[in-house]
Amino acid sequence: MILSIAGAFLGAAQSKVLFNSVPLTVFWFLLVVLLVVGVLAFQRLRRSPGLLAMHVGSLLVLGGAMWGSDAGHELRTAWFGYTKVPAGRMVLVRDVSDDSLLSPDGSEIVGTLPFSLVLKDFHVNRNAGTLQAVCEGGGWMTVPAETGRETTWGNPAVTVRIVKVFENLKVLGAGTNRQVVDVPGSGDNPALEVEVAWPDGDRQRGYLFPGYRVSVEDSGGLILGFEAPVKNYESAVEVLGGEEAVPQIVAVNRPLHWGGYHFYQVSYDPRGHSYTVFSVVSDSGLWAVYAGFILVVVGVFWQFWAEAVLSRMTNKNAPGN
Amino acid sequence: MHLEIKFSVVGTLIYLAMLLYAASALVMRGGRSRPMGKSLYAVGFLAAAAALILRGYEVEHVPLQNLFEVCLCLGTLIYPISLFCRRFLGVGGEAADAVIGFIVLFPAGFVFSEEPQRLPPALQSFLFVPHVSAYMLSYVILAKAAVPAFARLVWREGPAEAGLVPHELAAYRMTRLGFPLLTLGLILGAWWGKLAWGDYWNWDPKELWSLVSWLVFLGYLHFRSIYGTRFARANAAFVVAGLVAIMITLSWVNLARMFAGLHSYAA
Repeated sequence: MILSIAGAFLGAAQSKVLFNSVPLTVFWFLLVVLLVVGVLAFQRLRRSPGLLAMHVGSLLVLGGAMWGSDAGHELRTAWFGYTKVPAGRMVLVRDVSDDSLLSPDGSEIVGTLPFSLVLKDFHVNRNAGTLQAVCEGGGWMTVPAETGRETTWGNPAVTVRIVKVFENLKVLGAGTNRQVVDVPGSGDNPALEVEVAWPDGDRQRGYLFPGYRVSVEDSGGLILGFEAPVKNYESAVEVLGGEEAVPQIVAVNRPLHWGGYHFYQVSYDPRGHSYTVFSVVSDSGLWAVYAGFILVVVGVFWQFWAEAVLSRMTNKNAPGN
Repeated sequence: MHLEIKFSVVGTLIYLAMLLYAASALVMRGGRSRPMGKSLYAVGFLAAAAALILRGYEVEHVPLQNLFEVCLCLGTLIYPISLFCRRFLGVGGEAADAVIGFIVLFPAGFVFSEEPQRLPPALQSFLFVPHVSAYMLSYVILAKAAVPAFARLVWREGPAEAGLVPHELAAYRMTRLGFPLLTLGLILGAWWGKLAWGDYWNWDPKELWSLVSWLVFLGYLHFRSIYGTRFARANAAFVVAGLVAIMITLSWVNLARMFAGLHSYAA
């Protein structure tokens, strides 16, 4: 508990180093040994299904985590010549197959996969966008980002009309030949072209981009913004190495599991969608951890809920009562 | 951080719920005028529930994303938990529950912004609702457990009302109810972390404080399992310490810059 509090103040990166240090590795081993001894020594732990499940589950979680840790991989490499890389990054350029795993900063190759991946397509899926009008004095309103929509707001009242909705705004040419065009599919630069009309008939056009707010002059503090929240990032890849290329999708919250590794969508080329970046993590020990999770949850509900309900149903007092 | 008054319908409903919770706590204190107090508490719950539903309708997702929505949810959950605990566990303390409801609604009413936010991609998971719901339920239950524990720590055994269990046992029963949900929240979070970030444990400050909360209650359950009610005040101190850890996990970790991490979007 004290170590966890210390780790919280240290931050995630330093905590990870602390909890994977040699003294703490000894601590984890001792904890595992203590749990095993506890289960063997205390008959009550073995007789109660809930307590047994919780303690065996905890053992599996700790054992699986140690097996899958960086140190676990290193030990197996040293002792058994096992070559699985615990984690790395993969930068896939469109239509170029690759099997290299890079270090987190991308400066060196830390290993290779027993198969290759090739990026076939990448998209950013966005939720329907909204034009946002915020008044400095408080209050806000949103208007769906659809061509032709308009709203009146502020004091003096100005009218804001959406002239065009861009999926991927690009500026072509320069100077007087400059053209603003929409090139959907080849990038991700959503924008709104809006026209602001003042009561005296004056009009002005401009562009709104997500994440930026624009103050409208002579409107009593009206601020305009455009939100087009990202729904998901999705890479379409093919796995090469077998007889046929296997198409797969990697998206946020939807990792690809293949050949003993998980691939996570972590970054991409925002301009031209020409590359995507995956975090690659070995799945060693994961199934022991998952089995441990299930046992702990089943055990804890059995011990504290189900037994109380069962004893109530049989008109007995709950344990400890 | 500055206090602001909300003039929206959701804000108005929150203030109404706070007012009714405060009034019901005043009416019910010392066990007086219980029917009147209970009615005020029930109407306060309806106002909080209406605010929560309306908020969900406005933001188009289950309103559990940021601390404004979390506080609103906590303030709504307290009433059904009060009813459940009296009916099935023999635990009373509705006046204190109404105070808890008032306290958790206060930041929603005056501190946190209600400007809607879309869920970022990492939060758009089927685990979002079960993970956060399990935590919210456990937090309210364990906060309620800390009230009789605190009473046992400071005063002697109670309560005066017939049919209700003593403070020490009340805290224990509430912890038995809340701890499995706390465990479920932790493990669902680990599973989600694996799906979204690549690891079930990222040593993030929020994760570590959640672990601290869990370990405090785990320590309490072990201690009570070994010694029973022999050290009743120590038992009570564990439960109160657990609530302190929860408060740090829920608020301080999200608000203090010293704890920036993967859960920073929840602020």
